[in-house]
Amino acid sequence: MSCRYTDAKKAFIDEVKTDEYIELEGSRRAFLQLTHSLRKSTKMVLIYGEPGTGKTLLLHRLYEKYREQMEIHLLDIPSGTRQEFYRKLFRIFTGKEMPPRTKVDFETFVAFARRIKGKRNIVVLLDEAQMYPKEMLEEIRVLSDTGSIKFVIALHKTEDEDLVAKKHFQSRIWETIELRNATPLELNAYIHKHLLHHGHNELASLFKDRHIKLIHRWTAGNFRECNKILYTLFEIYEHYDKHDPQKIDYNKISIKHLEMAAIKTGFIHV
Amino acid sequence: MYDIEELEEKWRRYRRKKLLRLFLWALLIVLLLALPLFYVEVYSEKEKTAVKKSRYASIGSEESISKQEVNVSRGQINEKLQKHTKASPLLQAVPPSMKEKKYSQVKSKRPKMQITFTDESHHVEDSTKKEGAVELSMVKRNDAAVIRSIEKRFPLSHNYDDAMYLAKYYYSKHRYKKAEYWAMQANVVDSTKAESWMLFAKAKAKGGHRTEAIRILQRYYDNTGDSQVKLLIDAMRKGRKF
Repeated sequence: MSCRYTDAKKAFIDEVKTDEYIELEGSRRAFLQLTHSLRKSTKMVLIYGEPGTGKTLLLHRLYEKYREQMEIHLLDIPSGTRQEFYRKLFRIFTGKEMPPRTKVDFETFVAFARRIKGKRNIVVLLDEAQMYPKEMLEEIRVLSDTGSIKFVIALHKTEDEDLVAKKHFQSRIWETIELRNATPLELNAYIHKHLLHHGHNELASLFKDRHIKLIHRWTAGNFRECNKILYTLFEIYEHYDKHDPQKIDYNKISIKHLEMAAIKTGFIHV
Repeated sequence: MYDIEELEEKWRRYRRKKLLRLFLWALLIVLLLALPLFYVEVYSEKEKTAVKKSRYASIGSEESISKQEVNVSRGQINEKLQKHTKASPLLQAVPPSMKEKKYSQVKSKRPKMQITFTDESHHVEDSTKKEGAVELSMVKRNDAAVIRSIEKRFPLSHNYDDAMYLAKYYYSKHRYKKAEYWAMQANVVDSTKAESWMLFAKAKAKGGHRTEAIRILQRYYDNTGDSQVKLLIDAMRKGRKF
């Protein structure tokens, strides 16, 4: 009993784990749409949504699913410089690391992409695309125009830079997928499935509609924010369990403790 | 977790704020619900007070009768009465200096008061068909519409005749409370006319307040010396028909 909160807490650490992926209606639909668009001759696919709606996880899942079946590459960390981006492109095109002190210009990549058209079908998954400089976005656009390389771009919906990027790619985007925050029902499924996935059936059964409603009200259904609250909640329970067990009822989730978690994570301002 | 106590303290503060907020909302809702009721209550209270005030000002209060409302000296009233006697056939039936004559003389010429209805007009007309008989001819249009329309126009017109018409109408229908009310309204318009005093007192007496009716008439008689009033007082005192 004493370690169940510690384990439950770990279940809500915010990290991308495709093996712990929770299938929800919204994300299932987005995944199917994305899979379908990969088979089409589209040049670019845009995935957008607020931070914490599961864009990165969606790209990771896609990558994990198709990495053995097709030539798919995931660039999850944005390249800060052009050279770094070229290095990644070199590895994508040749399958080898670019030799040190070697310089390749962009025209070479374009020429190479044109040469492999019809022979290879490369898919590049680009996460956090709003962080790429404008020039690099321009080069991505030119590369996608060759028709031999397809970019799946994930963007934040709410920040200014996404507007720039979105506008930049607008004429080339053939498919758009929007990821939204979860509904209370989806959030309920997310929390329950997450706990069940980690073997906390008993804890999962303690989450009632009133708890879900509160969490949804504070987080607006954002998965990342929900993870934060639940992590903190179980951290509080873990503390009481170790130091002050009379303060907790093991048979229910207290609203007080949930509110304390929301205070701690900044969802409630005192 | 090292800051659990601080967190608990923050939660307690949050709880207090939440409860206070809830309390304030509840209070606001209660106030919003109670406000219209309070307003209605105050409004009706004001109306009641206004009606009471006007009643006391005109008839109810003895002091106001003697000092303020009547405010007409005996001489002035006698003067007015003399004028009216010339003009009104009703009053011609009663000798003007009735007060100076002995009461027994007055008694022998006691006029009869009748309330009759005609279909001609709806204005109150006083007429004397034969000596000593007072006939009040009133309109009858067979429907309550006339009464309603007169009642409706009265707040604007404040016409003495209208109020008296209504008072007589209700008196004839044995609705003495209403008769009282309209006689009082007529009295508010013109407190010098004995007719409204008499009708008010008659309605009052018929309504079971004979003593009060006599007291009011007596007070008026003391101020004006009106012979008809005296006759009515006697009739009331001796339990005769009036």
